[in-house]
Amino acid sequence: MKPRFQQGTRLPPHFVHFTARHIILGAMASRDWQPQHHDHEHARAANLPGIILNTPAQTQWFLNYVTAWAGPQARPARWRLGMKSPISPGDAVTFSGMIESAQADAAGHDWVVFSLEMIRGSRPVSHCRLMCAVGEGVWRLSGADWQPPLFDTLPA
Amino acid sequence: MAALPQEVEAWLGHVVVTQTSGAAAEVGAFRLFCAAVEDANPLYRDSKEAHDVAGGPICPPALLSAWSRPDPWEPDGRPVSRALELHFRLKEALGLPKAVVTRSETELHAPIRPGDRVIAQQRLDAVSPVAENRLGQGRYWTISVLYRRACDDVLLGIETLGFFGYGRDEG
Repeated sequence: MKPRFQQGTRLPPHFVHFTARHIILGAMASRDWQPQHHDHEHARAANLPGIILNTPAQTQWFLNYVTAWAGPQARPARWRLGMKSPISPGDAVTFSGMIESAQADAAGHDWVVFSLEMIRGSRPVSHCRLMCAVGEGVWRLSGADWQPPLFDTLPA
Repeated sequence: MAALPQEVEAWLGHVVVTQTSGAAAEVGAFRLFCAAVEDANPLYRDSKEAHDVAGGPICPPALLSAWSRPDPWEPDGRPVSRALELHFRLKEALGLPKAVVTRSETELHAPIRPGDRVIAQQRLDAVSPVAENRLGQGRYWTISVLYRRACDDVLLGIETLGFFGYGRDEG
């Protein structure tokens, strides 16, 4: 079966200017009370540029970037996050991404791997490899019918 | 090469810490997180699309680890427990007070839904021999957290975290 998504397809860039509200609300709403996400003085004392975006919020920004493009039928299955540099208030970040691989399964669902980046200026600050299942009924799969493949088992 | 402490040897391959959620998942919390990350996905709201596509609203996937995190304050003055308790116990047992995350991978299973309470089972997968990098001498370790729905033990997701612990106090 041929996948509906094409390897090499580029997602349109998306621009976000991060504010203190993004950072603090992201941490509080994900029940993350660590001070580097809400206390500027603590963050500066730890040699950080200021309060920093926490991991769950950063991850959901990536998921949001993909599902806003692919639609809610895209069900995240697996991700690998690599953070290279912290994101703080005042940072202007551009999201970019492309389809690394796409494979249809026997049930007609596509397993799509996205390679995503957040870029500040010309420097990548974060990378996410995200696998989604896309297609009618994917959100209703469970148990033995929901078996996300490992990243390296899908052809690049 | 320094041997692992006996208690750490005994932890390898086992769930050492189980944390139970202090908070039940709920749609208001989903909405607040969506506001934080400007996510308009209708599946995270009590919307027609959520019922049609997913059988009802679901939790934003990146909140997998949120529900088992302890509250920052307890009304009876009890000490607050630590998120990812196994990581802190390991740092103490190995005498490595500092640590950085080196990698993270998450695999999702059943979606979290309103009313769910979450159990986090923290398992120690591996500890490396003593290694050295630009941060100094230390060890790498891997912890997997298996998130399960409290009411029926259904697997919600697995988070695998790699760390490098360092900064041994030689004094």
